[in-house]
Amino acid sequence: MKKYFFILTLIIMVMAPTILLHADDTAIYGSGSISVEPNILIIFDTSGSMSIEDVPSAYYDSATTYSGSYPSDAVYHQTWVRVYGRWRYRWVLYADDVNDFTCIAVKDALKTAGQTQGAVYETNSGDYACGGSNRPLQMGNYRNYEASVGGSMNSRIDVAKTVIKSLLEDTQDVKFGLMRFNSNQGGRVIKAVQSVTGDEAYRSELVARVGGLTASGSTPLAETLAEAGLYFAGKQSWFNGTTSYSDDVLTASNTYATPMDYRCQKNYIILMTDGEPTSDNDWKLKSGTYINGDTIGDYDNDGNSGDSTSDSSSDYLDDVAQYLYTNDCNPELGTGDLTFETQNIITYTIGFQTDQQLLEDTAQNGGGTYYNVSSISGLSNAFKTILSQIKEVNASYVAPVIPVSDMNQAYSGDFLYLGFFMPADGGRWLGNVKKYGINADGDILDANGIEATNTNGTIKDNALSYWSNGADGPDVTKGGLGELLLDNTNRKLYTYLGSNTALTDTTNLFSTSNSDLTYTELDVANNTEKDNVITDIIGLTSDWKMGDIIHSQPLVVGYDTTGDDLPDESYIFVGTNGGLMHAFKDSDGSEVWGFIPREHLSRLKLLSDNTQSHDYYMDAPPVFYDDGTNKTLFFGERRGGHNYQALDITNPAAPVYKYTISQDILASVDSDIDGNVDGAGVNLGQSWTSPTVHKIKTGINSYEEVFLMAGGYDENQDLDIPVDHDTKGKAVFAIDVTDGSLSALNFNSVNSSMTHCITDVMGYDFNEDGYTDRVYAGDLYGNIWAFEDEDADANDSIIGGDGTWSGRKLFSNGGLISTQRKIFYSPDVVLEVGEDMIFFGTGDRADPEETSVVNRIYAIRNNWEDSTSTSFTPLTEADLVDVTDNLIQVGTDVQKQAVKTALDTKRGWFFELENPGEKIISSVLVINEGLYFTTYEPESADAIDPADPCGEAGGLGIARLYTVNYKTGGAMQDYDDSIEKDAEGNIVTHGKKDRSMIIGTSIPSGVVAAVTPTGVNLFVGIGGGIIKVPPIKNLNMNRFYWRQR
Amino acid sequence: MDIFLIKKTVNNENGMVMIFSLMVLMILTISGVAAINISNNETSIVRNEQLSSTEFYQTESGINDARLNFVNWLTNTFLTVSETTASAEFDSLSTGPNGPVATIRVRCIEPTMTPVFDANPNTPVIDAGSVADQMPAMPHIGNAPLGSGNSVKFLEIRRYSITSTSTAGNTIIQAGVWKVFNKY
Repeated sequence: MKKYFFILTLIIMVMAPTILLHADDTAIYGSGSISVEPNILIIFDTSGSMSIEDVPSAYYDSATTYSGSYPSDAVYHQTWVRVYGRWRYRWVLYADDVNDFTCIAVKDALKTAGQTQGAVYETNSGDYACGGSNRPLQMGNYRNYEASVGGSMNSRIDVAKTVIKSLLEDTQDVKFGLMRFNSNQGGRVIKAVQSVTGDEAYRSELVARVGGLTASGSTPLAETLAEAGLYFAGKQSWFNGTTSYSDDVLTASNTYATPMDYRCQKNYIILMTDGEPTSDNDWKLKSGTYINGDTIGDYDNDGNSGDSTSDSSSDYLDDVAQYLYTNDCNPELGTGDLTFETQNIITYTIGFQTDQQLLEDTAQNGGGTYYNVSSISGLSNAFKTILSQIKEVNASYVAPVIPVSDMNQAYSGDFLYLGFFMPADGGRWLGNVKKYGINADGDILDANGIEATNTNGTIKDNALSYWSNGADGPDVTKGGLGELLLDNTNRKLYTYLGSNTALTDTTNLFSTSNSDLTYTELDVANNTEKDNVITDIIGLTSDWKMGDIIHSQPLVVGYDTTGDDLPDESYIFVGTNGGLMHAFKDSDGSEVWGFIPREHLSRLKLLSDNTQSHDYYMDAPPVFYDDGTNKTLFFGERRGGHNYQALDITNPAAPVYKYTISQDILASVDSDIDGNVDGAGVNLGQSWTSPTVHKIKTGINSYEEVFLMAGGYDENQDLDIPVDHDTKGKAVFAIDVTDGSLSALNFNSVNSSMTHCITDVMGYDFNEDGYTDRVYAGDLYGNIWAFEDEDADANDSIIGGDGTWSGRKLFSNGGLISTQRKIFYSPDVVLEVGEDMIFFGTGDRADPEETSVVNRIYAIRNNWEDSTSTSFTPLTEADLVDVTDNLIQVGTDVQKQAVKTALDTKRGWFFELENPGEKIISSVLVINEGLYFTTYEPESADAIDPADPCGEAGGLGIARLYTVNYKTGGAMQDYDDSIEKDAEGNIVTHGKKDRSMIIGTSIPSGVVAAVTPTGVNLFVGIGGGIIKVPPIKNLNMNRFYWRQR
Repeated sequence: MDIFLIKKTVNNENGMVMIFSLMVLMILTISGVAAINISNNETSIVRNEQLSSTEFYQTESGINDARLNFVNWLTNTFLTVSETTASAEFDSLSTGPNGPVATIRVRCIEPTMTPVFDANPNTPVIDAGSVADQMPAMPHIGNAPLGSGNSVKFLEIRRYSITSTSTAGNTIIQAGVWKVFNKY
C-alpha cells in the first residue's frame, strides 16, 4: 500500500507542472501591497499669533445644540462646485435631516461625532441608504460649532498642541518628524522623521517637544517649506547653521541627513498655520540654487511671487510646493532602471483660524488637499483625514484611448478616456474609466483645465477628472465612471436568453425577479445561491461595482439626437472583467445598461468565490460598425472565452441582440472544396481579435461589409514548451457585419499550411477603389501571412479584385518551439514604390516575464512577386539585413556603405532587442518616416536587493520607447545623453543608444497617434499614467501636384 | 541737246554734299527712331514680364499661404459633409499695396468632378472658377503616397486642390495637397 502511495505521489508531482498555468500578462503586477512607512513632517506654526485665545476649548459635543445659521439636523457634504469658473471643493447642503438616513452606521457616526466620511446615496423614496460614493459629511450642528465664538476660549497654540500630541500618541505605521518656524528666517527641523511604531521612547520625545513649543515671531511659510524640502533631499541648509539653535537636528556640516530610506517610500509635509506669510521674502526663494541646481522663483507661473505687501510677505509658498511635488528630490534614490524612480514630496495645508487662497493653491500645486478649520474638533479631524489619505495610497495601470473627434471625423477629439485596473485580493480586481481633456498641444488637462499629469506621465495625486466629485488623482477607486456607478441604484443589466432579441424585454433582465433566469442557467444549486450571485453582480452593497479593465478599452460612439447629422451625445462602451459589457452616457457618466452574454452566466459565480485567481470575462476591446442608419457593437472576450457578440446599438438605450460568432463558425464550411467540410480542426481559439471593418469584393460586381478577424489564441501557447502545432485559432477570415455569416475571405489550416494560432490581422485598400484587397497577419510561431484579392488575368476588363483571394506564408522568422518569437500584433504597412514595407515586433504578450527569447523588430519589403505561384519560398532572416549593431550610423565608412548597399538589395532589415527579456507586446506605428514602438523588459530577479522592501511590489519592469528610421532602423532622435562615437572616431548625434529611451514602468501601450488641427501628438500609456511623445516633425499639407494655366 | 551741257550737269557735284548729308541724316534719324521704338518695345516686354512674374509670385504665395495656414480653411465642413459641397473661397493672407494678392479656392479632390466654382459650367469659358473645378479624378480619402513613410493601418490621407488666382486675374495656379489624418 505504501508503495502505491509513493508511486501516486510521484505521479502527481510529475504531472503537476503540466497543469495549465495562466501565465498571463497580469502576472507582473505581483503581490501588490508594500509595507514601507511613509515619511510625514509636520510643520507647526510657532508665530506670535498662535498665542491668540480664540478657539473654543471644548470638543464638539453632540448633546449640545450650538447656535448658528445652519439647521442643526441638516447634513452637508463636501463636493466640487464652480466658483468663478474654477471647480472648488466646498461644503454644500446634502440632506435636510439626518434622521432621513437609513444607513445606520453613517447616521450614528454623524450623530455622535458631528462629522464623518461615509458612503450613502439618496434612494428614490428620499431616504439615504448605505452604498454609493464615499464623501465627507458634516451635521449642521457641527458647522455651527465650528463657526461659534464666545464661551471659554483657549489659545490656538494650546489647541494645536493638544491635537498634535494626541495624533502622535495614537498613530501607527508612519514616520513622524517635527518642524517649527525660526523667529523670522525660515524654520528648523526639531525632531527628525523617524518611526514611532515600536519606538515608544521616540514617540514620547516627539510629544514632549510639541508640548514645549511657544508662540513668538513671524510666519515665514515659504522659507520654512523650502527648508523642509532641503531636509528631505539631504541638502545643505539655507536658513540654519549660521545661527545655531540648541534644538536643531542639523549637524555641524550644515547638511541634512535625508529621511528617505527607500525608493518606494512616500514623503509628505503637513503645513499647519494660522496666518498669512510674513518675513517670507528671502532672496534665496527667488534666485538661490535649490535641490536640483535650479531656482524656485515663480515656479508655477501664476504671475504671483515676491513681495506683495509692506510686511515682507511673499507668494512663494505655492511655488515651493510645486517644486517639491514635480521634482525628483532625491535623484540618487531609485534610478531609471528601477520602478519608483521619482521621489517627490506631497504638501497638505491646514488653515487654522484662517482661510487663504494661497494655502489652497499650495495644496493644489503640492499634490495634497487644503483644510480650513477653526475649532479643536475641526483641527483634529483634518489631521485624521490627511493621515487616512496618506495610508490608502495605491497603484493603478492604464491604457489611453483618444476617440476620433465626433464633430469632425478626422481630427482627434478633445478628450482622453483612460481605462484603469487595480489588482485586489480575492481575484476580483477593481476598475474604472476616467475622462480627461486634451488641448491642441496634446497636454492632458483635468476638469479644471490644469495639467493633469506630471512630467513623467503619472497622473497628479490631486488631479480632478471629469465626472468626479472630488480630486481623484490616479486612484482607481475614486472618481470616474466607477464612482458614479456606486450611486446608481437602478442599474439596468441584461443578458440574452434566446426568446426575445430586445434586451430590454423582461425575459432578458438580469435580475432576481426574472423567472427565466434560472439557477441552472447560473450553474448553482438553488434559487438562494442564484439570487446571491445576481445581487453580487448588481452590487448594491458592494464597496466597488466596476470590474477591472485590462485588455478592453473604452469605445466612444457619437449619436445624433437632434437630427442635424452632427453627433451631440456620446456613449461609452467598455467591457470589464466584472462580467459586463457596459454602456455609459458621456455627458453625465451614468450607466445606461450592462450586458452579460448567456455563455458567461454560469461563470459569474467565480467572481464571488474566494480563490485568488483572477477571472476574465469581457476582456477584449469593443468595436463598432455604422452603416449610416444602424450601429452595431461587436466584441470578443479575450481570456474570457471563445465567442464574439454583436448587439444593435442604434438606440443606445435599448440594445438589441444581433448574433454570436461561436468557436465552430468555420467548421461547417468546405473551404478547400474537397467535398468534405473542414471540421473541428479549424475551430477558433480564445476571442482575442479586435476586428476592423472593411468592404471586400464577393464577386466582380458585388461586395459585403465585413469584420476582418483572426482565429484567436490557443491555450497551448501558455505552455513553456507548447505542443508542435496548435489545434485552434489557425485562421484569417471575414464575416458579414449584418448577420455574422462567413464572407469571401477564409484562410485556415485546411486550405493553407497554417500551423499556429493568429491573434490579430490587418487589411487595407491598395488600389483605392474602396475595397480592401490586401491583408497581413502574423502567427505565434513567427510566420507572416499575406493575402491578396487581385485579379490575375490582366487581359480582361475587371479592375481590382473579384472576391477570389490568394494567400501565402510570406516570412518565417525561424524560432524554435520553446523559443518562439511570437507575433501577437498584426504588422503596420507603408507603401513604397512597387512594394509594401511591413513592420512588426515579436514578444510573448501572454508571458511578459519570460526572458529566454531574444525578440526582434522586423521590416520586410514585400513586392508580391509570384503572387499567384505556389512555388514561392517564404523569406527568412537570411533575406534581411541584421542592423542590430546600427553600423549605418556608428560603423566605419566602409561598413556604412556596405549596410546601405545591403539595404538596397535585401528584402528588409531587423534588429535584436538586447536587454534581457525585452519584447514588443503592442502594435508598432510608422508615421512621417519614423517607426515607433514600445517594449517591455521584465525586472530581473537579480536586480532586486532582497533587503529592499520596494522589490515586493513585484518589479513592474521597464517600459521603453523606440523611434527609428523606417528604412534603416537607425536612430532618429537624440534619446541618450552619453556621447557616442562611430568607428571612425566621429561623435554622432544619433547612435545605437539613441534608438530608445526609458519612459516608465509596467507594460506600455502601443504608440497612439492623435492628429489635431495644429499637428500630431503621440501618446503612450504607462504604469500610473500616460506620456506625450513629441513627433519628429509636424504633419502639414504636402504638395503632390502643381499646374499653371 | 548739248552733250556738253548734259555732261556738265551730270558731272556738276555742287550741292551733292548737302544732299548726301541730308540722306545720312535721314538714315540716322530713321535708325534712331527705330532704336527708340525697339527700346520702348523691349521695355514694355520687360515690364510685362515683370508684371507677369510678380503676378505669378503673388499667386504662388497665395498657394503657399493656403498650404501653410490650412487651419484657416480646413474647417469641419471639409471633414464631415459630402465632398462636393466642401469648398471655400477666400482672399490670401499676404497683401500687396492694393489689398490681398490673390483669391484662393479650395475644394476636396474627388473621383467625379461636380462644378462648384464655375459660374456658367455649360459655357466653355476659361476663368478662375472653371480652372478651380478642373482637378485630377482621384479618391478624396486614400493611402499616404508611396515613399512618404506613413502607416496605412492607422492613418489615411485626404486630398485637396488649392487654386490661387492673382488679383488682376491673369495668373491661375493650382496645387494638389494631402494631409495625414487618423483613420476613422
